[in-house]
Amino acid sequence: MVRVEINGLRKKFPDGTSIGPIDLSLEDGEMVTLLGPSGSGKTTTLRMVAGFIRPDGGSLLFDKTDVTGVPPRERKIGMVVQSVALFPNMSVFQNISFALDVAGWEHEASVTRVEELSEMLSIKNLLNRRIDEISGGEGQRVALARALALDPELLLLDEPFSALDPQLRRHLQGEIRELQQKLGITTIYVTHSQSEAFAISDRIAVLNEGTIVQTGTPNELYENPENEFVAKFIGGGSILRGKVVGESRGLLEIGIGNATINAEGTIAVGKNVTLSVKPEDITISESTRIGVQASVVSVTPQVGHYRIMLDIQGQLVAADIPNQDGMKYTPGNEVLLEISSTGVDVIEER
Amino acid sequence: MNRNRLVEYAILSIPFVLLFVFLVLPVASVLFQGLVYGPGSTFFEVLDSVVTQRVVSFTFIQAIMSTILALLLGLPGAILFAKLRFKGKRYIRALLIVPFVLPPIVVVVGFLQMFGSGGIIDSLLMLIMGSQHSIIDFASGYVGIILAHAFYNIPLFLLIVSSALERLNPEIEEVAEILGATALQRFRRIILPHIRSAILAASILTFLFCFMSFPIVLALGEGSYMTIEVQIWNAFRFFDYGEASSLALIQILITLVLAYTYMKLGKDDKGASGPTAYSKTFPLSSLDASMKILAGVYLLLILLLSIGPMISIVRAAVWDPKTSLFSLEGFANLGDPTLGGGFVPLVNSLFYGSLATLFSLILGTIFAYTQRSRIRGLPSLTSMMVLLPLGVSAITLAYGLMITIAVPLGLSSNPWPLIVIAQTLIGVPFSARAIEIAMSKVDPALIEQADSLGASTLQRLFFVELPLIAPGLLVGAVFSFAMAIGEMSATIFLATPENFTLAITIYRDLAVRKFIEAGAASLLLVAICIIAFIVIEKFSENGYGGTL
Repeated sequence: MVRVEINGLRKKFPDGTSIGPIDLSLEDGEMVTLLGPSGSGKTTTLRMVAGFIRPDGGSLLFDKTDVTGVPPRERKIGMVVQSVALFPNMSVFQNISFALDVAGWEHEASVTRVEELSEMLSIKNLLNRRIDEISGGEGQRVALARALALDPELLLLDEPFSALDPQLRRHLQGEIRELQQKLGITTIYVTHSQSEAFAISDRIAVLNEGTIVQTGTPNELYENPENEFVAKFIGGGSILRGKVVGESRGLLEIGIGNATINAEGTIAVGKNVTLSVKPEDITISESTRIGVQASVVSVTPQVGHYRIMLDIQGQLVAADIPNQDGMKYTPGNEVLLEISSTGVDVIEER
Repeated sequence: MNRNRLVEYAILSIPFVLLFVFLVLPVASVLFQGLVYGPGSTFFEVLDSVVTQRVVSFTFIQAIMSTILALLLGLPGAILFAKLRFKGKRYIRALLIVPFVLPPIVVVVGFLQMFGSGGIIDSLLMLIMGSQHSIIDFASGYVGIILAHAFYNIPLFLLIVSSALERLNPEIEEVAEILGATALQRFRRIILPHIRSAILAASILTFLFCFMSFPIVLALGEGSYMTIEVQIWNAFRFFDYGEASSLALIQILITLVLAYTYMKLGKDDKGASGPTAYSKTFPLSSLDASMKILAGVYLLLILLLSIGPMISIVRAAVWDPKTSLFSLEGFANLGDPTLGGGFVPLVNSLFYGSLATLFSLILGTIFAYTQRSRIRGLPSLTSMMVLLPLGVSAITLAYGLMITIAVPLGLSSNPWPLIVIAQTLIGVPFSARAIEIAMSKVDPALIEQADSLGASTLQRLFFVELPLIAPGLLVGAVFSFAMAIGEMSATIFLATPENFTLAITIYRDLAVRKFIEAGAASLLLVAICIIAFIVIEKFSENGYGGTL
């Protein structure tokens, strides 16, 4: 397999949008996900790695060899795309054996390899079917088998499951992760789904507006977002703006209007800060005296809990309150909030 | 069944009834009468005749050769326009497509002027070689017919094949590339199978048009080369109704098989379609030098063949070969209101053409509805009926209209309504297809929204559906109009001198060597067609390939 280094890859398009510089490295056998909203540059980055888009600058190294100018077909890459893109004029077998045929494999060797792959991906019964005779999930398996046929050194997966229903998607995510670990193949996965990225990645690179804004393990990103975008996108946290007004018992005291929230951190008094508070770290206090004063703006039932939007000094935060407690509140209620100091991420404003 | 449903069925049945009355019945009665009562040869005598065998084999051979030539010249263009990006591509492509909407008789004038004896190329060669005699003549006989047919049908390949190529999901090509396929392997294994149906469809349509060809063969064949359609015309002229009917029957059987195959291909052509928004294209600069030269030579050649005859019509309009002088006499003739002058044919062309367009749009719209109907068998019946006018001999139809409608209704002395009917029928296949395509692009949710908001069927039709399919209506209208004003086969059979259209006048002028009059009238028709074409180009966003 291969170690991949993306060094400052960038691309500017005629319409003015630009991507990069992108810096990212993947260890041999690692699975890294490019995660970000639509238009953040995930697919463009992947297509630069595949060789379909020629970058304006930067370099791409596979095991320290520069492949920036190498044509896609010589990069030893397997790729599965969102539309599956199975060849409609060929059977499942012919699709999987395509790469072997064009590489000049003997027919017997091709048959053996296709059978091996189809067994691995549980699609042996589909080999003689036409493409329009298989389901969406089966199509993804066939596309994966086709991508793996020539033992590629790098596997690129561009939102391969986005068109599938959630249950099947979760099932295939598990399968693909298992397969990737079994084969030890270096993999770049593109998705806009945070849960999908968390389910299958060794590391995640979060993209926004054409650049990587943070890279880390799923846990690192969730627990320690380095900026407001990651905090919002990964944790779904509410963003509050305030000022460090003091320190008490090793905790920062952050003033938000008249209210004060405690948080861990080492930021000088007087500095403006941004706070990210995750919905599950807020509870509505039973006490009538201690807590941050807020008023209930809306109450929306969700699976297992209520999402309650609260107004703290003119700033909105979301809290997830379990069903039995959440149903007590209605818009307009004045409440006191307990916000766990460990659940608050503080980012100094620059 | 409630009253509304009855009214709906009554409206949907209108085009079927009209096509039956004005197409099926007249043609069937001509065939029946001719085959059973004559006068003239019997069916078996016709089959056995050497002339028939010569005519049928010529019809086939010229259609096959014309199709092959149009394919060879059109296919590289289709690939080039779908895959390459270069400056001016949009305009060159548009120019190359114009010939398809030109009236055939105008093509004849352009061809004679460009490639004929004493034409532009011949005159240049005579000048260079210092010869007093004509050196080349590519505008008559076998060569002329095949070249003119190719000229006429190259746009079919350009439109249909490039439109299919643009629908190829670019990710399919990319995946093939990343799996190691070379450019040649990708073309052979991915692109070619994808466009195979489109190539076949364009080939069948080209073959069909060449097989049915009348004005081009009549004018360039010099009496020696005759297609079945020309021979039907001759047989009617010499009152051998038996021969005319027998030939028409043979022709209909062949064209119906072709039309059915074409229809089947349209249904089967699905699969690798993807978003056209970013279909994979390459800048011209990405080609190596030899490929660039090849593309340049091809473009020059195709422009010479396609644009040359159109440009030379300008010369034909102002150059009088009889006096060897430039003159505006041809245009003066267009304003001459006396019988034999050009003003009446001009008014007739516009009047008949406009009425035919209106009727063909109405029929086309209803056909587009029935094409999308869920009533079992109705879409297939519609496809068949819509294609019928393309596969039926226009001369036979004209004669049928004469005996079943004109004579009983006393329209023989001024049969202009029949000319409008014939021109309407020729436009229906195009209008129905253009409107059906526009309808298929309308999001059904919008119609459901209108329903849920309480719109009646008529309100929904006028306020929601018609505005949404307006571009399709316009494309259909322009195609129908272009077909109508260029129609010559049925019109020449039906028209009395006061019904002559510009197309007929051009043919008659050519026959009596009034070249400059023919040239001026042709230039006017070209101008009308180019305006019509610009309208299609503007409103169809390159989507008119599917209309064919």
